[in-house]
Amino acid sequence: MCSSNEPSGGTFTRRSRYNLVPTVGAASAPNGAENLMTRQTRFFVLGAGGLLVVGLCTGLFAYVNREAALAVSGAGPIELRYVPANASVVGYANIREVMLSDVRERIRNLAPDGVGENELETQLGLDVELDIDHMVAFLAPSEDDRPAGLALFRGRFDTARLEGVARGRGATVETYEGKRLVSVEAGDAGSLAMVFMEPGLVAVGDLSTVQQAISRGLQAADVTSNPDMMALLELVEDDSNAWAVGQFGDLSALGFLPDDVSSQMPAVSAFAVSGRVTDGVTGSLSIEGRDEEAGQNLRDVLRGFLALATMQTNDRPELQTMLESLQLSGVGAYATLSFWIPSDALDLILSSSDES
Amino acid sequence: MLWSRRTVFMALVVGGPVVVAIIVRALVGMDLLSGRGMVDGRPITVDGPIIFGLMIWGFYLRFAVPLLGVFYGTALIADEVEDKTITYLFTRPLSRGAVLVGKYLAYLVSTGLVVLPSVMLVFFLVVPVLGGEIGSAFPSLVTDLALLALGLAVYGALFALVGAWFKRPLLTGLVFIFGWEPIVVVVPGYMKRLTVSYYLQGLVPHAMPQEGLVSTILSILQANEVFPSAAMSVLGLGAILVGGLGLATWLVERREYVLEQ
Repeated sequence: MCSSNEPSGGTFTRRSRYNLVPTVGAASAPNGAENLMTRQTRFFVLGAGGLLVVGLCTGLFAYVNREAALAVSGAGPIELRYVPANASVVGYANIREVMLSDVRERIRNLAPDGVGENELETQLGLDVELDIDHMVAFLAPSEDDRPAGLALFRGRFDTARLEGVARGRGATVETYEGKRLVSVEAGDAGSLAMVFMEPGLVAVGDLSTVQQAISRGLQAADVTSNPDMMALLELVEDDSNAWAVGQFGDLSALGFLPDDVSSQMPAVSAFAVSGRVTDGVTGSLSIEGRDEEAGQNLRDVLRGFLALATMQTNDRPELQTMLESLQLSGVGAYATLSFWIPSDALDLILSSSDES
Repeated sequence: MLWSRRTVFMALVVGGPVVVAIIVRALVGMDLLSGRGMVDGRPITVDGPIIFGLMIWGFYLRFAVPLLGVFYGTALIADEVEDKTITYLFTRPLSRGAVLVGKYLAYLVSTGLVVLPSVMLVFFLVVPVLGGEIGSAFPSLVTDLALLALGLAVYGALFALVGAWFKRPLLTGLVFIFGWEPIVVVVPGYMKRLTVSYYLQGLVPHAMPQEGLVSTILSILQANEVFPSAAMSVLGLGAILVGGLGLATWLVERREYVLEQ
């Protein structure tokens, strides 16, 4: 097997590296070559490994500090500071993720003309898919009959064009506590207003709510100081890109629920629903009863509903997967229903709604 | 191993995606790439994470990982035989199997330290464009890195066996990854289970962004393919890795390599 040929490749490139002979005249050259190779390899390993470590640390830092769908343990989305402490319902949607999802594509197939986004782009220069990243909205009790509502959109906006279009439709522009406030009379809906809260953040709602939100942004009283609502946010799934939480007691105060509906759910005090929209919809619905007995009743009702639905869909295999994904859980006053609507079932639901 | 002529080739293979990423970044910066288009008459919008997912799929998993596995895996023993240096290794006071396993581990470190930083560069170049967020896409990066490392390990083990067994291992390996695998994977039946890509690609959907465009493209690419579950994929890859490396070790322990004079 031995060969007298000089090795030219393989693991080693010089025979001297296999059998280093410490002769007086030849010792320095091989050692020098070995040191050079070792240094090169060391630099390479340190460089590549360092790049990996720095990249992973940077990514991890960005991940930990990302603007999550919900920052449960912290103050939540930064827009929550514009939400009043007495808000009854708070909702969030990561518009960008939802718009890029396969579910959106399926809806687009059913409504090729869109659901108003083309008009938004024409009238306001607002491309919903690209310009809006996410939104936060809330409903809160107010002194008059209608609940106070506000939607906050985070994204990239052409403020001059938005103002111009609004002016063209009879809106007036004024400065309120240092903010550009665009308002317009909308008949029975009252005065609607739009304000550029800060760069990249637009709030739309009724005039008084918008004005209160501007004032609230300058002060400290917001929904993050409401422990009940923040406790509800704890029920929201971490990776959800849409969620809503609300308190039923306050919902009745909003005045838009019919009395017979309100009377049918006296045992329910709060809810939290969250979901992740991708190629299907996964999520969970948590309902809080007034007490443990109410929680047990809620779980029984939901269990019965699941059994009934299973019976009704025995001959509908396309819905079976969805029903099998329904998981009921909960202890104490809570009942939680987690679900997964696969793309096939979603197609069926969307096509049914389209036909109807 | 690291400073052989193959390193130039390896640098080209993993440097290509970085160059593409720089071009994508430049095009977006010059507003020449909007990320919006039409597929089958449907408007689609892509962002940085989707482009990154496609690059991982197309450049790395489909091309770079199998190719590096072939070039370096087959070279573990075959190069020593060809260069007539295997005698020096086998006369060392340690088992032949240990020599092979040591060289295999060196292969893993060498290729891993070239491929994974390349992926890292591509990630930071591509993901932030068109509205993508590094933080949100970080979990998929970790999954992709793990998947690529697993691919390098499995292909390396398989081609270490090929290198220890066949006389012309490089040719055999190239035929395997560019002939056998692409054909068999799309042919109905059980033959696809005799490929690495069948199990490896079974894990890809778990690592890819689950957005509409990717799903569309994957459905086109995988029209006739039925992928195994994630557990089945991991089991299959583990079996190939352990089996390949074990057989290669067994073969090296018992085979007599005759060097041509």
